[in-house]
Amino acid sequence: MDVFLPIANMNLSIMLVLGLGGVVGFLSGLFGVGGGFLLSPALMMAGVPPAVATASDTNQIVAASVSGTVAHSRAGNVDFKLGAIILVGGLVGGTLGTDVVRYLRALGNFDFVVKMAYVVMLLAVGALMLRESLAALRKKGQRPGGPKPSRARELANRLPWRMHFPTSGIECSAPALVLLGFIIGVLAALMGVGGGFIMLPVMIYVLGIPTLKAVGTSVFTVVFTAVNVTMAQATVNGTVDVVLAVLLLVGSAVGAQFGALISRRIRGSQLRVLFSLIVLGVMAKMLVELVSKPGALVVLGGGH
Amino acid sequence: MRRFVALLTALLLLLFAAAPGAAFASGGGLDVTPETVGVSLTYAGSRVRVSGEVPAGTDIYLKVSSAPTRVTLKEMGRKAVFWLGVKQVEVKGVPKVYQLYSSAPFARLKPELAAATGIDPSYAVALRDADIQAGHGVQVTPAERRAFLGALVGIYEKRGLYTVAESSVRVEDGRFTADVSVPPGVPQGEIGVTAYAVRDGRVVARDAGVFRVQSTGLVRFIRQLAATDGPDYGALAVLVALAAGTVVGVGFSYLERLASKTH
Repeated sequence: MDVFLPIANMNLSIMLVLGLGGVVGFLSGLFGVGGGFLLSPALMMAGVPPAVATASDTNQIVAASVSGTVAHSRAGNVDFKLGAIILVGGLVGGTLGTDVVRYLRALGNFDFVVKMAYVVMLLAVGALMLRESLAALRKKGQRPGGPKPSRARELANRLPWRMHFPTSGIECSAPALVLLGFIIGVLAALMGVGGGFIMLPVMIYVLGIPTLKAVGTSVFTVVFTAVNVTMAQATVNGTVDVVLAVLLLVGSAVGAQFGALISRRIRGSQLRVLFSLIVLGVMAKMLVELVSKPGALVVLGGGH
Repeated sequence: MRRFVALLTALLLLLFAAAPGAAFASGGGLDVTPETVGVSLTYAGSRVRVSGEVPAGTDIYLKVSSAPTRVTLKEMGRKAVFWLGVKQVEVKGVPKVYQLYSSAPFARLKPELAAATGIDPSYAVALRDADIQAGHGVQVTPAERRAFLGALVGIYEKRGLYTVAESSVRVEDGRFTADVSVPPGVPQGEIGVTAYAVRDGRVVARDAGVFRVQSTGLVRFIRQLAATDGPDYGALAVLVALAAGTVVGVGFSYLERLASKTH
């Protein structure tokens, strides 16, 4: 049975949409990440215009991140002060990112920019995660030490307006946090992601926030970034397909439950190796599409 | 000049061939059923039945077309190792739906008559008024114009919006019947249907009708709100996502509690 998507102006199999949401939800439940960065490419591969895919993906992230925030705040894992400062940058970046989307769509190369952004981000995240998880597998039995202070962390520590964050137990420059939020906001608008897959490594490895607090705070900021980008995409670009978003949400919520169930039976480092291979596989497919001669040399533009 | 004379000849041919009184014998117009096609959430394409009386000894040719629309096309080209958009144009004046059905081979129609009636399987008539602009003062060469229009026809054919269905019109007991395809992606509004009865290379009768395509229910509500009030639509999208997320979350918490009680 098909469902007609009012904004995408196309019909897709309901089972395909639920299945896509379900598979990505399963992976996010299994690996403990949002999964937005896998869903948008999957939708594009299913034929949904990139502008609609990214905007609708952001819409479904709103719901997923709210439920995550509620759960993490109960466990005391949300640093609201730190999250609020990141949000200042996130809201500015999200609004600016939406304008960038409009500009790129007018130029006609939005699809290319989105796909290239995905290739770069997926390559970076996949390669880093693969390296880290392989190292963890080699050191099995040994408890990994805390993350080594990186150059980025040293630089962040040298910036002015340092503030203390008791919940996270760190001291950090406020402008550095605003900048991080700004980058996340732009990427959220451009790529249809919550930004967790970028924010988490930065919070853990650069800012030195304990993993659980980083996850809780990241999910909290994603709520507002995703709401802001959804509102902006609906107002400026008119590309949010609420029917698509709800179907994806239902599929991903169900898939995430099964993923979380399975994840308790597999070792973390093995999971991360598997996940990084999936991320690199998606990246390779998108890269091949970008360098291969397209089936048609003239295509509909402008988000049709 | 030659083009003008040919066009004038074709128009005169049509004028004399389908002179007043040359409507189909019934005079009641075409029977188009249903008159309105509703695009709902479950819409996966539909068919509209067109029927009417057949003047004795004539072949029936049917043209289905929508109003011209504006569309953006992008030409892909290679830059370094990547394939990306290298030229973008806006095409105006081309109908988004153009379908031809017939009870006899299209080759029987003389080129002048095909041009005058629009019963032209090459779609030359459908593309006649196409206006292509590249913007920023960039010129579109005649070769590029042909390439863009050819690609647009290919895209529309792939989506079922442009069709040439020869000998698909059934004629029985003095009446003809044709099933017109209305695929997803069809534009909203009126779609015109024109039937020509042709004998010995002349149009002896002509009749027209319309059917309307409009979104219904939730599709109509979403499209209207998204088009007219973006902020309200955005707020609705956020609220719907929150509600759906809450329902799913509460539902799974309940199931988990049930499962833990049974173990």
